Amino acid sequence: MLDIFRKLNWLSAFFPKEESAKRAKERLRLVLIQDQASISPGLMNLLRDEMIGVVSRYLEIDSAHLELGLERRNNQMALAASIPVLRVRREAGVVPEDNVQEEMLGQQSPTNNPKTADPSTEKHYRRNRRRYR
Amino acid sequence: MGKVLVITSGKGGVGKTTATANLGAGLAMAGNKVVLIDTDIGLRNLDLVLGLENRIVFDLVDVVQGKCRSYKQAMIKDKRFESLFLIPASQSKDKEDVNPEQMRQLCNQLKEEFDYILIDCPAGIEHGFKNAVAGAHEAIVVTTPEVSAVRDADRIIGLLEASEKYNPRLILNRVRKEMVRKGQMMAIEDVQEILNIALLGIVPEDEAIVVSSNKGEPAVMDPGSKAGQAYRQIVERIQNPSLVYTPDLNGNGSFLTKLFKFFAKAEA
Amino acid sequence: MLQEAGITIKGTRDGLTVLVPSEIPLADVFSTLREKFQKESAFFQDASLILDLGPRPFQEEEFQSLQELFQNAGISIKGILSDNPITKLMAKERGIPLLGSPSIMHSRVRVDHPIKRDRLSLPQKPAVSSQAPKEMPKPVAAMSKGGQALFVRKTLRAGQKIHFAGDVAILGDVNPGAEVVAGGSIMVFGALRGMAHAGAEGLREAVVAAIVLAPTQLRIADCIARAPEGRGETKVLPEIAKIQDGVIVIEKHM
Repeated sequence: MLDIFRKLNWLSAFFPKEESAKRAKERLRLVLIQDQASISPGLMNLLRDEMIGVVSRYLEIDSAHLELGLERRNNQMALAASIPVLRVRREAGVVPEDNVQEEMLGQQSPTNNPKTADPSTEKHYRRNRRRYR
Repeated sequence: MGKVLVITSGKGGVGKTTATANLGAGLAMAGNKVVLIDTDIGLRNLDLVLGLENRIVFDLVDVVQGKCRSYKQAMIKDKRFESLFLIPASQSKDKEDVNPEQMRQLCNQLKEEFDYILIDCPAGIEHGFKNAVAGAHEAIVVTTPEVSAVRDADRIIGLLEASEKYNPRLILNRVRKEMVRKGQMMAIEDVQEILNIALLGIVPEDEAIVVSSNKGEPAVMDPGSKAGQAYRQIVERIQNPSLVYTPDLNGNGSFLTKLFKFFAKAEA
Repeated sequence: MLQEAGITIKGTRDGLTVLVPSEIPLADVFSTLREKFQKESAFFQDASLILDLGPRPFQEEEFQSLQELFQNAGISIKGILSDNPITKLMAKERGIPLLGSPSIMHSRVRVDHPIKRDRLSLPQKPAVSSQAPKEMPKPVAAMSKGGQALFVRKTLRAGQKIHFAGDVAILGDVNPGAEVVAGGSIMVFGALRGMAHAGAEGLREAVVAAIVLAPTQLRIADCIARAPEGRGETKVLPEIAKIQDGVIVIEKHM
């Protein structure tokens, strides 16, 4: 695995040095917003994943370009989402595009991607989840 | 049975968190099972340095207060390494929300599962420091070659030595060889005249550290970084304590003072 | 009433009280207590003792070690008796109840020379000490009345202090941020880089000597001197500081 890193680092030498400063600024911006609103970054991610799941049931979306953030509006914090829509799903309960599942040791698995929206199939879904553990 | 090491300094900004991240990553790269604990409650940054800031769900305070079932839920696995984990600090709580007894218990639990437990200590000598050292067997003291940093390190060593169990070892950080050569910066011998503890390693000032922190990738992963190289060597010495570090001494510093110090150490 | 190596344990109406004398070096107190608790662990198990500390001042870390000693022996501290305001504060901070008034046995301490300047009242017996040798050496510079000297065999680190009414000899360094205050003279067999105050009770004949004399601040009686700027390298040059014509002068020693 170390070799992969060596290769990646070698490649990054070709990119302009400002890259890392920009990355730092972006990371910092995200972290500070979350700090101020007291939502942990991890929870933010969970929220994002669930939102993708819910929205995807009705709209086919470009989840890679989904923007989600807490913004200051006047004296309030507002959750603002910008979700590019590709098309509207006529059929409800279709398997969503992305299968986002992170392997976190012991962390709560995100409650995303129900196979269907039909409550009668929920038992089936839960059984599947357990198999992954 | 794992070893619990606390990384402390007294003064802030000398590189404790960077050292913790790099030593942790380095030990994991060498095949050990490592967990890092950020005890700087209220001002967490170990997660940021490791680039794991967006993976935090639970934190140390949640663990000790029982808000999550066990430490396993708060622990974040760093996917770049086989066996590196982080228990982050809380950003919104208080250092008083954790007490030394809780830290001791947590470390005892972690000892069963991990080879190395590294505790990132906050600056100062108050509650945060007491929490951080409570569960530790050994201490690593980080300082820079700068008067107030050395003074604070001396204070910390005095507190650690009073307990007789920590075997404090020194990392001298952010050394600029050119400035030392010109006599504009203290050399390791000057620092040791005051601190006089076993030396673990010397880490040079390196731009790569800034870049690595920007990206959230510890410098120890970067084969081109001089600081990363120094950390890799320190990791070897941590794993193998019999490797004695002999920095090249220039013969500065009085013979008589050293002679008397030798007697003082022998009889203390 | 049991007495062993100067430590007295009394049984009173309130329970068992441990009288910790002020004149015995703390390390000896600790080792005696440890031994005792170990030897009679059955008797002391789960006991709750009162600590009578008298006028003895404690450093943070010494108090901590004392607490740990009892903790490790499985003994809880029911409360503390103390004359010393700092000790009382430390006890309060740690949630240890402060009880009545310390035993009469402590009140042998007197201060012969009241200080004009610093409002210090230095104890006749060592306030802070580490392992003192079995026999006291002849005073190096018999400048102080009283004749007893304190012999400290370790390097003083930042934040550590020694206060003593007689002469003080230190085998080791005094680091910047450390402090030695003596009623008599101060001799440092090492580098003096911290603060030293000799003749603290007004004795102008007191001196300060060191192998390397590079203190942040030097005081003799009521005179204060700062280290000259830019001392450069620390030469090994034993020097002695004394008051001459009302100011502090430094001479080559030996």
